[in-house]
Amino acid sequence: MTHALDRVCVVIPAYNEAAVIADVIRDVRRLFDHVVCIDDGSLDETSVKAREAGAVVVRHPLNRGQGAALQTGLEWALQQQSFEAIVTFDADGQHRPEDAARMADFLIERGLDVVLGSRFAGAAYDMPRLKRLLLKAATLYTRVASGIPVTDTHNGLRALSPRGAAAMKFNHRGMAHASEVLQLISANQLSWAEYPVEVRYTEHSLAKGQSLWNSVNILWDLTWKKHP
Amino acid sequence: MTLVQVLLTAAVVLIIVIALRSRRSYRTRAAKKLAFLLLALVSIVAILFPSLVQTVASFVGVGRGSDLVLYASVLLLLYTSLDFYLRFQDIDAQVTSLTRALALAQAEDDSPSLGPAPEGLEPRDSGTPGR
Repeated sequence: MTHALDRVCVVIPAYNEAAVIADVIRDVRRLFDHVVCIDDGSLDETSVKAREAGAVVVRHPLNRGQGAALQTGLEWALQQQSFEAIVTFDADGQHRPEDAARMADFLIERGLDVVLGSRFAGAAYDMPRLKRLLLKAATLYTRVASGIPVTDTHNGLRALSPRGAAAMKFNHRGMAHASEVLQLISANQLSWAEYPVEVRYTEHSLAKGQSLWNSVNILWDLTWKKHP
Repeated sequence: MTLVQVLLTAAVVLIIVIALRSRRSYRTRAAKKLAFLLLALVSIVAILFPSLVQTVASFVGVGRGSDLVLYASVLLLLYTSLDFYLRFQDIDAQVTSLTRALALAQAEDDSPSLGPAPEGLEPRDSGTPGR
């Protein structure tokens, strides 16, 4: 690592992840000093576990969705005014901290605003076929809608510069923010790149992941919710 | 197309345009209240003089007056649904902003290391420890 990771903040949005959050945060803290966990109004012990594992916890009093939680995390990190890069990281343990570190490094080294983790640029383990198909379809839609030629739109692992993070003002507080990220990159003319990452599909992450039905909701949100 | 088909199609388009337009201006809000009063007035007239409804229905090419009333009700339902949906989204976004502000303020309270520590007190665990 050529850059000090103590200038990097890892943002982990979490909702009812008490079962795994502590392990995920400890794993991240092997490499990163600063981890902020946004507890999105969990009904379980997520906050307590996250704090015990050494994360700063920002708790939403109400469940507002992953997009909303992410934005809260980014705003918290920006408020500290001491980070060169902010990494977003899923709470279910599907990402590897090593990938996150390399992406932060890559972002700072290249002076980019956004680095997007991509499963299809790298290798994904045990991805169910239906999930792969759905993700490909979602990616195609987003590419057409945003004009940004990415290979994987729904990957929670991203590295952002302060400028990139400040641009992430989501209209969609749910899962549609993943596509919105690309629209915001395009609208704000942010510099970006993809970076190959590995995703671990555990039974837990699959159970917590997106159901096929929710893609209907996401598509609806993206086509209808245009106003702030 | 009969006259009523033209009118109803135009009304649907108009309703969507009106509902999607700015909903905050004084003018829009005033117009809504006036439209409501007008609706109440028309309803009373229609109740008192049912034959008038029949006359209007025949004029625009609808067989029965009650059919015309049904069409008008559907249009009203379309408008109210859309209006409520959009208004709900506004409130939803406001709740999100409020939740965020509250969460961030609470986080600041919890970590005195970001501000000066109170006199004579050991700083609490800030939650941002080193390795």
